[in-house]
Amino acid sequence: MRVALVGNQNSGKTTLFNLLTGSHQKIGNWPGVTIEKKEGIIRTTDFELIDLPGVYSLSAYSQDEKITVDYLLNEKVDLIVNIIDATAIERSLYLTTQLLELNIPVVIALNMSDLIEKNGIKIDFEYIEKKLDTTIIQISALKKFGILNLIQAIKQPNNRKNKYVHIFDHILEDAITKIEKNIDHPFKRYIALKLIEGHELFAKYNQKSIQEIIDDIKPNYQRDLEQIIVDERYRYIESIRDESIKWHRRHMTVTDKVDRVILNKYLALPIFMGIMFLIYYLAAGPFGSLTVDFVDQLIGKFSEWFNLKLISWNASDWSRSLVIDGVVAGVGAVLNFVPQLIILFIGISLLETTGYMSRIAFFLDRVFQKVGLSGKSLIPFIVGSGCSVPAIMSARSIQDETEKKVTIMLTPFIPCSAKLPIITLFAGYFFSDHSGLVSASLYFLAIILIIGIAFVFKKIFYKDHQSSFILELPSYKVPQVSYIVKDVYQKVAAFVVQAGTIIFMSSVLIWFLISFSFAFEYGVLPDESMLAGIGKVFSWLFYPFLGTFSWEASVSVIQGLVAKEQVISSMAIIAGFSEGTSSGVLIFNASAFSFFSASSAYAFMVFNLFSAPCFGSIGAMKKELRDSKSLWLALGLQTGIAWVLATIVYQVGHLIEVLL
Amino acid sequence: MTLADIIILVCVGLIFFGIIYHMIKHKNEKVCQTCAYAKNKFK
Repeated sequence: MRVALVGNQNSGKTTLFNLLTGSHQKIGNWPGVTIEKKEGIIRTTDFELIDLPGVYSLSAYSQDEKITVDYLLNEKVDLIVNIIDATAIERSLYLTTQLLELNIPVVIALNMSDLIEKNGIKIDFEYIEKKLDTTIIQISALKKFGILNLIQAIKQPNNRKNKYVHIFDHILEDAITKIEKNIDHPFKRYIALKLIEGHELFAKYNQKSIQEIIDDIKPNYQRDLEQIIVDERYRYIESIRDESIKWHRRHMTVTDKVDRVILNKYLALPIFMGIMFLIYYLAAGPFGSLTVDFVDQLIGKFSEWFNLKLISWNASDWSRSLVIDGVVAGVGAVLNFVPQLIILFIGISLLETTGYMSRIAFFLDRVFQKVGLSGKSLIPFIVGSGCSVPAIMSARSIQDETEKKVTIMLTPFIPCSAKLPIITLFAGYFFSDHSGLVSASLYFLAIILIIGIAFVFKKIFYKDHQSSFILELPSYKVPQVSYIVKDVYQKVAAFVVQAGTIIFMSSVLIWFLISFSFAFEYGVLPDESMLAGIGKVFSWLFYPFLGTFSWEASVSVIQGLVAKEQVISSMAIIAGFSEGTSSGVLIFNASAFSFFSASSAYAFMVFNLFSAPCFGSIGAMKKELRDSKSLWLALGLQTGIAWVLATIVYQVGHLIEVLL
Repeated sequence: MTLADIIILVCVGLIFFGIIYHMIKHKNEKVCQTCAYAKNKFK
């Protein structure tokens, strides 16, 4: 049996899916967590459960709605579990009435029902069950109650009732009945309604006789038929609400009280900046740098110990160099930053689970509207602080094509976790006392850049573009420690796996290229190696913001295309072959990188942060933009802006350095 | 070339080409299928 889990965004679908199936899918207290469907088996049964993206209606306009509608219409679903937020029944029932029209049995899971009494609401469930001819099970996915009852209800065929109840006025209902007779499809009523609404996706079902029926009813209404259907649906829901829901006291909830401060006109932006600064200060500031030093020392000791072991095992110079100067130096340089990433991921996870992320989208919406974006674009930007790939993919929930394209182009500007090692290494060394401030400044520079570029795009390419954004603010929730631990662990594990695979491969390659000349002689000076030969070809490109022709920095920057962490890994390996020492922040003691000054260091960070992202993100951009022209435009734009900005930063900074 | 050199070379080679083999084997999978940042999101 196939069971579909359908509900509004942020109604707790994924939490319920995890409880029903025992899996650990990502959850979040903000809309749009589920973008594609997920599958699992309901515990103690052999029923297949599908978690569909959160939708507010089955209008099939946005991509999330299309996925949901496509699945329900084409995949032979036996039962729909409609999850409803008990604190927002009126809004949730809009989708419910549409699901009931599909002629698939519906069981309602009333989530967060523990909050009903708390919020001063009294609900006559029997009345709603009778009106909708369905079964309602009270649950709390968060508190884990009612889940067994729900599984029982899913198992019981008796609960799978529902005969469609007429909800529209008699003119519309008569027209729907007539149109249904002309449609050969299991979901006649849904398609009949879509044809009356004039939805182009269902135009293939339209016939002359159907159009005549629609034309006949039009004179009875003064407005658009789609709007009439929406109004009639709400009228029906309001009648259910009036009869079944009683508010015995209305008082300000904790969420209301917190929002009065957090969303205050004057305080919202400073609070947001303060929170982001705090996260970056903790992750990349003095505290984060201490953790890097600690891990660096551990790796350094391991490196020394392993080197001695290899000597005792009679390993030759070249094989020891491959392991110690290549693999351990390259992979170790990246692993140094794991503690900082843990801090960053905890911060982001807290923002997601508490519900603050939706608030950020809400108050920045005003600014974003002015530049042709909306608060919906902010979700990819925030996801992008972890990894650009899912961030770019999450942009598909943006309905407006123009806004989606611009968002995809701008998302890689947000410093992802792979860029954090670059930021902390340079900020920690060159701006030691202000490293937290410098790190946060790059995050804010990214936001300013995004707003600025979007503004220019709007002025030049999309003059008449208007964007809209409707967002329901979820209640604040105390984050579940177990979920945060799991979420952070998964992300850190992914980072370590990346270091153990891509960075391992790249480190071996870099070791090979720096150890051999083009004539395949081993042990040549770094300056005569293949790597130097390649780097020298490109070093003129980076001269304007490095202030010197550095093949070492050039090859490291180029490797950022493979993975941004590789920039640091490559620098660590090159530093090892250069004079000085090779590990951690002491990369800058090596002669290869001793040319860096505060201005070229900041410029180097700016270029790496804002230039073309890694291949993984480029692949995601290609998939989502769907045309090569837009992709090349985006990559050219990103790299061009990064180059110009880095050059300005270096030239101005250098001038100040000289004058001071 | 000592025995230790051969063992190191074989180990590094096995891991190196193992990663390449894995990447080729899974090249048709979706970008995010194996990524923890998003595997829960895009199945």
